[in-house]
Amino acid sequence: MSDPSRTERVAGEGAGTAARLDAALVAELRRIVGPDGVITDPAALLVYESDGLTAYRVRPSAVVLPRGTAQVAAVVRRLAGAGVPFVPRGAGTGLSGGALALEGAVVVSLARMDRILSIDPENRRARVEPGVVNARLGRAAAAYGLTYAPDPSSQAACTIGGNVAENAGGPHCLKYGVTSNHVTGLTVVLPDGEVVELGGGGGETVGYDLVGLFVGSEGMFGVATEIEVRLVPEPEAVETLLAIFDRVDDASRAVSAIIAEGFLPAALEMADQATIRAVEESVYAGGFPTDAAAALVVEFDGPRAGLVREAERAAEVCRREGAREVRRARDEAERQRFWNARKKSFGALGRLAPDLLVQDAVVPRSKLPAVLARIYELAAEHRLRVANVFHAGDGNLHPCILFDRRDADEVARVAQASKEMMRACVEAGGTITGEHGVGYDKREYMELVFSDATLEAMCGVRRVFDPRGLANPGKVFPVRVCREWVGPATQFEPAGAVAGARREAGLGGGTAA
Amino acid sequence: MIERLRGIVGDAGVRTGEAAARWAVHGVVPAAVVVPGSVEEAAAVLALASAEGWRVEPAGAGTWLGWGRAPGRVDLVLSTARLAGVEAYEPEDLTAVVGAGLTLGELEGRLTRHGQWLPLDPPRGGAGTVGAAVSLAEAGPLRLAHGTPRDHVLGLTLVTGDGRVLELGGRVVKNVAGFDLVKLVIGSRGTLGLVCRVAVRLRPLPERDTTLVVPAAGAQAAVDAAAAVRAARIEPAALELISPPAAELTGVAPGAWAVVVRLQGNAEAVADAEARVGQVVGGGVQALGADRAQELWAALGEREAEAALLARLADWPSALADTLTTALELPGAAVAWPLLAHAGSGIVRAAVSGDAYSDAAAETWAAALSSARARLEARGGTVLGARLPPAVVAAGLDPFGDPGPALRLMQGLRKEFDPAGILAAGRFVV
Repeated sequence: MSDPSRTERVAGEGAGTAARLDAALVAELRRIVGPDGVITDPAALLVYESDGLTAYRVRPSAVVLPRGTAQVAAVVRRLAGAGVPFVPRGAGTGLSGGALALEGAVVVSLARMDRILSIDPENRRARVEPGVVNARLGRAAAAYGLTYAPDPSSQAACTIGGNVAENAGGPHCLKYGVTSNHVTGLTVVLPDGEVVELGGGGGETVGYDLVGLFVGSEGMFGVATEIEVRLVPEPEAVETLLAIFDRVDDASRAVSAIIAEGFLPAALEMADQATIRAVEESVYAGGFPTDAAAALVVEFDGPRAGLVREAERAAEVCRREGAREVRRARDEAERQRFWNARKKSFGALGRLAPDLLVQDAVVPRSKLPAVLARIYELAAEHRLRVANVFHAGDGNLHPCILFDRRDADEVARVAQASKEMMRACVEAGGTITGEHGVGYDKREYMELVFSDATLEAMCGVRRVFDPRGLANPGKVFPVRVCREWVGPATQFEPAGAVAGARREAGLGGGTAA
Repeated sequence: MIERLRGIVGDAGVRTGEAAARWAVHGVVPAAVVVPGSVEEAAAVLALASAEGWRVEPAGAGTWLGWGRAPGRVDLVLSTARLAGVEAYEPEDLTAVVGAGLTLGELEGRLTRHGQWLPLDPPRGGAGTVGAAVSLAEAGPLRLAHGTPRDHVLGLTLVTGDGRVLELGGRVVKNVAGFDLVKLVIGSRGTLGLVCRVAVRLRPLPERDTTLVVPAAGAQAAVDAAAAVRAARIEPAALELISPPAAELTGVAPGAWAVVVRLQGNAEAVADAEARVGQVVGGGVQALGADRAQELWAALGEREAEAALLARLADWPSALADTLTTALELPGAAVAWPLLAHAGSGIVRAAVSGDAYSDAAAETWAAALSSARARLEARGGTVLGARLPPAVVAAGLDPFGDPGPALRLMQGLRKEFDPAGILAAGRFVV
């Protein structure tokens, strides 16, 4: 979205902020959370100046690390009293700049709230604090033969609280649904410090479905301090296929055919040649043929009976659509190797170019062949290298443009191409983000998919939760839309001048998607 | 008023007199029933109604008007009956965009030809509209495997109380652009606007779809059989527990209870699951033929849809025995009228038929349901009056219960979408 050449330093730091967050307020925050629970040392704040999208950086005025709902409420109430905005933050693995502390915001880190409060195997529910890491909840549930279904690729690091804020997805969402299909109750600290219980327990929804509304609200409605989630049984059996294609077009037609012919895979993922080669040259090499144009990973899970037949029928569809080879994983080790091409791909791609820009658009599944062809066309037109590795079964594309931010001409072409790719996806009937969120990065794309009336209605909903615009200000909405939004002039630092600028502009830590 | 409405929707779009009387809401007859032919007409009607302060009841086919509290006044019923087209259906995408006034039955007809379905089976069956199922968040036994409308709806077109047209969500199966106002609208009962168009996610029809009936001597035996199925990880598509007198519909002996298990999947998996049901419940299992099964599910839905009083008692599935005990204390339960339970979801429906209810007993009913609510709420459960005779509400029973401090947010949201307060006024989130 932004000029990818620069690490953008966003206004909000400096004198104006310091005046609002004075020593007395810091002392009060320390009284609430303890002396070690407030970070104001500039060097220590560096860690919090970006999320996984490291192209944007802004140093928060302070970081507060509360324990428990009561402390969060006290902190938020105190900040509201002083008119200081705040940003809830989990592990900071987000890919949309959603955790940027704009407008002098204080970061409310949920890192210390990492207790699994209860697991109820009989009713298949868990209640957790927001700082619990996604994969840890999965492991805890496994003791009961259950699992937590949403599995973003960053699941080893990302937190349930962050997943709720972004309505996170993952490969297995194709069959099991995204975070909002699995969250059943929330304890929320509203932006004025009031605590409300939404949903939860064994009863039905009373009044509006505010749980559904809160999930995916990107930290702009308050802080979720307890989260009740649905657990699902671990499948009795899993069958995983790897299908190798000589033409990308055949692979994307195979995806459409698998969906259209009534299969319901647990996951259906695609990686193209650039991705396969990057992975095969890395430590995650899985023995994929590097001359292949594309590979599909097709996974089925469920009752053991009939599962092999289903996988074999899907393999047949792949062969019919032109797969030169279809392998079925013989054991868990081989299955993991199939998955490495997908799960480690962003890290491996990072080796090929100094910088990556990843998108998150979604298109109708039947439009995949055409849109994918258009993406390669646009890359060629703009003389850019693009790798595609994505949730094909959902139509959730992650085109990944490889570039070097020191090359100003290339950078300009990246900006142009990525805009045109996004437009192609929207014109095909799709949307701008399937699981990463709008955050700071994709705000200006919102007008591609929503009318002014709809955007203004969303702002109206935000005002109900947060009339003063204190919770995560400056996100989701295009600058001109929300009345409350008085965006700071964005300041760019000259390319290359930013200390510690990381190589993954537009992508953090290889944990993407 | 009538002339101005005709100016917007044409003569064919306005019904008055006797034609309007059929659309009475809890006995309150509207001055007119307005049936717009387009989203734009619906928007113009609502903008005018907001300006004039006319009270509007959003509706579909008119089959569910009896929910909630009785309205004090109804000027217009605004029906989506003419917004009933299939606007886009791409079988390869497993998605469809339909007018909210399309009935679930008509939609099913379109989808079956392509081997697909919308796995949503609210009590009114095929006669209810897609828009009503969405607005009321209605689901049926299939909710166990397939979820409720919030799990099926990808996007919708909402006309707000003051006539704004909002396109919410999208048409693709995964979408996190902006706030999820779709979830807010689902189950909002028309209080935020008229749902005019709905985009849904579809599923392939299962290769095999089998319904089994397990007879049980009494409530406890039925709970035990359902619990055994759950514990065995058989993962049925539906798991229903039916009391007398409705249990007779399943073919069990008079006075017996029935557990009905619906299994879906590929042929091998369903055969395997069927065998395991037999093992864990210890015999007596009867498999129904396809036609017979379809009849049974329709008939069970009908029992709910036709009930004079329909209340839903919900708590954790593990508390099903307690919830049933509470429900059995309602006057005439399991003798004069049936209890139907989604055993896998912990929801017990009390479907009190017309011959078992009279307004003379309204106070008794209000007291009994209030006391059931107090018991369940103390454990974190709920009692919702899905359909209550006005006399029972008048006798002091709140149909929906108290959302607690979140009510303030809900009221604020209602005002954002319906600033003039004309939609389903006084009936929900008041």
